[in-house]
Amino acid sequence: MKAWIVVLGIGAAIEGTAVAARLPVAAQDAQQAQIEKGKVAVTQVCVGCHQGGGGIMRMLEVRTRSAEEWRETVYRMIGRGAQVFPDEIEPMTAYLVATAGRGRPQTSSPAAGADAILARRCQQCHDLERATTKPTSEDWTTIIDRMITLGASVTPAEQQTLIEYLAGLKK
Amino acid sequence: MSSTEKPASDVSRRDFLAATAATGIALSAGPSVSALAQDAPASGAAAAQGAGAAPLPTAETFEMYEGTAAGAVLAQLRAAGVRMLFHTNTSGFVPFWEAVDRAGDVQVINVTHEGHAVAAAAGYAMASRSLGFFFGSGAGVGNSMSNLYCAWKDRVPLLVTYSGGELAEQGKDGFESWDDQLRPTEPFTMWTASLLTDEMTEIVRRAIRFAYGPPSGPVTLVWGNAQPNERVRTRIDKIDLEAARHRFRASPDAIQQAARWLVEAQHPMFVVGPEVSEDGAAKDLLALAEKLSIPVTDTEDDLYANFPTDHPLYIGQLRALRYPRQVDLVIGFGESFKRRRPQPGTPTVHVSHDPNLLGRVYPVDMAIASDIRMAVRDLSDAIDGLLTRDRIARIRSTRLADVSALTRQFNESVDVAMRAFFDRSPLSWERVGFELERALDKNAVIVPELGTQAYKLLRQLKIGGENKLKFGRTIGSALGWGVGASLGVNLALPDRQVVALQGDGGFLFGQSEALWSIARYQAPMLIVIMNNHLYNETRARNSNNGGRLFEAGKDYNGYLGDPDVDFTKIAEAYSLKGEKVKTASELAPALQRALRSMRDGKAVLLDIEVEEDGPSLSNATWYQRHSIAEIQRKARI
Repeated sequence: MKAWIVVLGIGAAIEGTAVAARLPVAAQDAQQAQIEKGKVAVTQVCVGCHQGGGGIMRMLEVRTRSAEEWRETVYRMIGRGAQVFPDEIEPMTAYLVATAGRGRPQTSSPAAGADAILARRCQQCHDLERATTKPTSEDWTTIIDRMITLGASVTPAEQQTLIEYLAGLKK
Repeated sequence: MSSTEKPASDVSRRDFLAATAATGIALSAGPSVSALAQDAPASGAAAAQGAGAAPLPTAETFEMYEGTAAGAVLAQLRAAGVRMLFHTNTSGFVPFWEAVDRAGDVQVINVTHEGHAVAAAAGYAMASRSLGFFFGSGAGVGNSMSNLYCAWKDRVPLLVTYSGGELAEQGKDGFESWDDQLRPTEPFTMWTASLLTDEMTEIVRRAIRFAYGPPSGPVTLVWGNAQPNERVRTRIDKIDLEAARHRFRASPDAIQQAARWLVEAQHPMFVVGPEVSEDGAAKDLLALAEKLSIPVTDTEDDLYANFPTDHPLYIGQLRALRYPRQVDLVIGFGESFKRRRPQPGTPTVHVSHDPNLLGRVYPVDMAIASDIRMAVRDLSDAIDGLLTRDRIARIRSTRLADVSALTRQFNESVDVAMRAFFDRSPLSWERVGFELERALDKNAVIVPELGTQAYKLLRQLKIGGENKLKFGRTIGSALGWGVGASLGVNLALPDRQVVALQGDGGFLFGQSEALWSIARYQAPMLIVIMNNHLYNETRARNSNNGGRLFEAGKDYNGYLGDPDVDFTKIAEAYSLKGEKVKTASELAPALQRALRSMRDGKAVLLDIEVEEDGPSLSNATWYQRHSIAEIQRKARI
């Protein structure tokens, strides 16, 4: 559950930035508030049934859906018993649109590329929070080199993408 | 047991306290759970007698019988009020048939498969709150096992009897015989025994005792060593099945403590389970919940309609609750918490009539062994003693406003979600539920055997209280139960509309033969097949995790559409009516036609095309092909 929330949380921040770049300031704020409200609702509602559901977490990581499709998913979950207030349906939809699918291989931005590498290479052994948190004062190059000696399968190009991405994260 | 004995359940807590004082029975403080289980029945009986609630039995409670051994068993069953027997074909019961014929007031329901017959007997027992009785062949033990298991999970009092199994046949590897014939049934039964000639009626009486418990469940018997037409002289006891389930109550100290917690809690919550209905406690529980406006939840394992789902205090299923956010007391009434539990750390009181279940899967703060109705009434009385009427009224109105405001909003969302798929074809499960609610009688009876999508349909129905009754889905979840069970329900409740809700996958678990009995006994039921050509639950579970097969669009066991079964033709083969519903607009008129047919005495099967749910596959109709015909064709070339 924790990992899922972290995944979605990071995703929201990244996607929120991308969305914000295309909208006026007031609309950006409204959009971000909507996403935040949706995040709260998703974490309160969905975990009631999907607590510990690794499969659901993975599907949320790899699935990309349109707003219409995510809204339908929310409706279906309501039918199955999810307790959603009427004014949470759209925020949940917005949040899922903004965050889900973060584990899919993407090439449109370095962040998205790193995200996919993290999902594919690092999260086989670590949850995302651990994979993106430096355990020591070593630099990321040293840490990733050590991971490779321990069996991580990372190409030189992927290693470079990861280093740039992880070094840029504010921790 | 005396038929004149008054059930101890009719004694209020005040009577109980007065009686114990009058008789000098000391009330020990804080007895252990096991002590409660042992002591409470005696206290209850003492209370009943001490309070003068029932006179000492003086009338003859038994009579002597002379006749065939098989006739003695029937006489004992009739003395317990049993008039409906379920049977699957076998020879060897001629003396029993003769006794049935001589009695003239016993109805035998022939069912063409032992499994369906046991399901029908279970459905009958659940709906009639009586005893289910089956007799059939020892060779059919295996056939009956699946639904025997379901009856055990559902705690249904059943006597399931088989021919054969004579002691003299042990070790011979004889025809249709094996040693210790009932041993395979032992994990699913409360007791197994042989109907030995010199104790037949005593064994039946004992079997009823085991079947009723609590906890209740099936008993299996073999017809023992009676020779054809062997005559016996034996005692027949009058048995009052209404009082057959022993009722016992909790110690007043435990009730008092629970009541104190309940009035102190800011956000208490009730979780109700099947024991509420088993103990006939639904009305009392509703009254207790309303007294302090305590929100009530249940679980997807709930076999019965224990609380009205349209009540403002009904807050949905335990697994997905958002209210109250910070529950500070859970009281579970007859729910074992086997699948869904309160949040860890939530103070919890567990009330059950089965001491073995108390705190088994969830560490509770207080375990109360009691008949549920008695515990509810005692709690209600204790609250009256702790709070003034004004205080009760204030708590009730404040909390009711909070809870009902939330349930109203959640219901609004349910309606919004339902309408989003309203006109879709294939139909949404929500639309089917919506139209059923509109078409059916308020007091219709629903017998669902559906997978994880069931709630989408059931949420649209008003169930419990003065609304519809519900029996199922069987907690055992072994598919192949529902059609037979719904026949038994209709036999018990002949003046109600009975609706069997089936998936296409569940119906294909060999249930079509149950239609024979539905036709034979003119049970004017509605059988709804929710047909999405799929084991939807299985596919969803298989696909949720992604992976190789999901990426390839492959599903090895989910797809059912090849062959595309026409279920209406199966119904017509049994001289029932069948109709396909392919679009949303067709459903309401089809239901009206079905209801007209049911009023005319003929059952109807509606084969409704419903949508699949869950992660869609790119190649949804894929399955692993294999063709014997193709092998033969190649061999011929």
